[in-house]
Amino acid sequence: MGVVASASCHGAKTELREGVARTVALVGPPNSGKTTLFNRLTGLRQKVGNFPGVTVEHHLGVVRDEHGREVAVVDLPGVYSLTPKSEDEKVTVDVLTGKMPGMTPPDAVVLVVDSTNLNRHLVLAARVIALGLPTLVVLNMADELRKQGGHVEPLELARQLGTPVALVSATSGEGVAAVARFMGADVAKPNPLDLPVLQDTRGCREWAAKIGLNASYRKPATPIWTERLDSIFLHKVLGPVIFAVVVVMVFQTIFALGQPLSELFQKLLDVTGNRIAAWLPTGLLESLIINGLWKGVGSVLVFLPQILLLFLVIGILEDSGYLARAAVIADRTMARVGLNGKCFIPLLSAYACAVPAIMATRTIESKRDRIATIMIAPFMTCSARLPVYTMFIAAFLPNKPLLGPLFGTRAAAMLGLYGLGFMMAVITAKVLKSSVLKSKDAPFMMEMPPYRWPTVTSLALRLVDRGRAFLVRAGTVILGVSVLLWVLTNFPMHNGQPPAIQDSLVATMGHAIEPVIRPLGFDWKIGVGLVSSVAAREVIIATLGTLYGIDPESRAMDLQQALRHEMTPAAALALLVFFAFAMQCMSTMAVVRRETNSWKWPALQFVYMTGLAYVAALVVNQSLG
Amino acid sequence: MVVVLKMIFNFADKPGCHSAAPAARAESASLFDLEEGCTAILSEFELPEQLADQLMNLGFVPGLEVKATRSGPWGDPRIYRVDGVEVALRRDVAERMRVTHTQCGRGAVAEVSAAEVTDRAASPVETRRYAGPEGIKALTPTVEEAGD
Repeated sequence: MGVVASASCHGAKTELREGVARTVALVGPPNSGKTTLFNRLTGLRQKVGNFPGVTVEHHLGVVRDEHGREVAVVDLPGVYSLTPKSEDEKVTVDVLTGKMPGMTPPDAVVLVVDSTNLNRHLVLAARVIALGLPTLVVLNMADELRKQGGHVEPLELARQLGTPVALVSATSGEGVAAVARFMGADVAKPNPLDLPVLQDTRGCREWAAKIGLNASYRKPATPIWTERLDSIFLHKVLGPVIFAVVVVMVFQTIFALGQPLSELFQKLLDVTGNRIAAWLPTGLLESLIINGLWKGVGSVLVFLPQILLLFLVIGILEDSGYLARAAVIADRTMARVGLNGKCFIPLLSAYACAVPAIMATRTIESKRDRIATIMIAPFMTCSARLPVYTMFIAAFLPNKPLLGPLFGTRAAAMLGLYGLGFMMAVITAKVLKSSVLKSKDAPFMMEMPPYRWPTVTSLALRLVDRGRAFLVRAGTVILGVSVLLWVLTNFPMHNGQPPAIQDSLVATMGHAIEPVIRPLGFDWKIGVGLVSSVAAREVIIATLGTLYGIDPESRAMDLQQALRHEMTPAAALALLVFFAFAMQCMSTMAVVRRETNSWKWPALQFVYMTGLAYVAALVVNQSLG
Repeated sequence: MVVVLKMIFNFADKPGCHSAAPAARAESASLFDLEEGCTAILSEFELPEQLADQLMNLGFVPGLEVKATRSGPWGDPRIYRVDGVEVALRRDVAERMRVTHTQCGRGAVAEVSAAEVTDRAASPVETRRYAGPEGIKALTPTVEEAGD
């Protein structure tokens, strides 16, 4: 009885129903089409989980065998070998040998290898077969093998390996039924003719060559399109130009397409909220549901269009094989700050929003580089900072032309703030990569997959998967904080009525932190704005609007006039610098928590960024004020 | 002896690969010095064991033929075709991998059949049988050997 326990899955409903007949583990090297096969087998009946204590993620799914019984399938990370040196390999070995806490050892293993590159991938077969678990060797991409003139005798290969062998094409669905049949059946342990000494990689490779030869394996010709496309995409001059075009397109998609979509979505949510409010009796419950819960849900959902768009774009880039080439082109530049080429796209998308950017760091294999990228991504000027920057610059800086009519002082100030965030990201990356995240053990090496057409199914599943992961994991945290903020603005009650904002708990907090922020030139109203901007940075504008609107002194002014009335220019600049550096976004923190699978990194990030923001704002205000 | 030298000169005349003449012999050079379009045979890694193992799992098994195909702007990282896959490596790693029998131009063979692995590992001279007519010239024994 293999039942995958829920203990390992942190509350997301990854537990599989009791009565699942067996558990089967899916193993294979990267780029073997393992995940495509998994998606083929399980469709939408799959869930994401993290293994306890590590950042490695696994997918769990259910397959129905021919008798209608359910078989649990766990998709393990792609590995080249089973010597537990990397986190991915350690997880794979632990699951296969039954050492993973909360998981029973699998009843069988499905080893997925790329049949167009059989000999190299058979090296892993030696190591998997040596574990002694019933194994099915899946020779994936059978259609490509045939099309490009390759050949293999599956029966002879099965005899050599002592395991069943299936020729499969996960993309076309050929042979997938046979895999499902194997998963439900009782299969004998492997009985190979001979196995090499596993520690000797060269010996394993020679063994693989011999096995391939005995199974009349003929390697297919290199796909000509890959060669042709590479001569364009990796061309000395054209390559970087195309790269720049792709980068601009990614940026434009998230910015020009994603942001209006998000705004439209926000309007839709507001309208729906009002509709619900009309149905509910006026009172505290209505306020909690609309201003607490619904707004909380809204603040999560509003990211969804941008996240899905970004993952669509990244999905196309990754599945087509271009992302690997882009990484090669960007690598030299990224190496200067101690990162590698794969960190480029996530950092770029952080200019729109850090949330999808941090989720996109999944494409970075090196754990240390991935965490470094996550740590610096929120320094990139995201779209939530824009309204704050625009408002304060407009209020305090008269627009004078600098370089022609289009580029004036305000544009320069905006550019300066973008530069400030970028500079701090570079410095932080350098500091992290030369200290705690130094990675001398994991140099940059990357396989260039052949170019392929991305399939709609794979893209759609990726979107569903990412969207769901974001909503479930980040959503719960964000919802909790939203309700807390609602409580802070609606209590203490007076005669059953919520207080005016200046009497609420949030105002009390504003007053409480006033001594701390006084040296920065901020009063308690700004303090309230800072507390409320934890929901999202731009919320400070609405909060200040409310506060200044209540104050008799500033009631008659518009927000810009009120800001000039309430703050010194030095304090305003200090506030801008504070916003450039501070970690004020609970969505980002929730996502960092989810992606690093620990509170350590978001906590460190919060302390570091906010501390830095404080010191920088202090220096600005004191030196100018 | 004369024959050997003539063959080497033949290689030196070929454009696009400055190191062809000396490296066509069994002399060792670093993988990073392998120019685009040239092939060579992997010999040894001056790298920590774990890293060497990682490289071998990616396909960089000593004895196999490796071809430098393309590279990023500024020549780093460079993409190598080895054992049927293309892998990008940075200079710092490629510099510490040694290759022998560098061969450039039309005679360069990118693909090696799997059966050769054993032979190449055992004795490089054996590879004559597989490397094609141009390859035989490239794998001419060193001057010392020929002089004996």
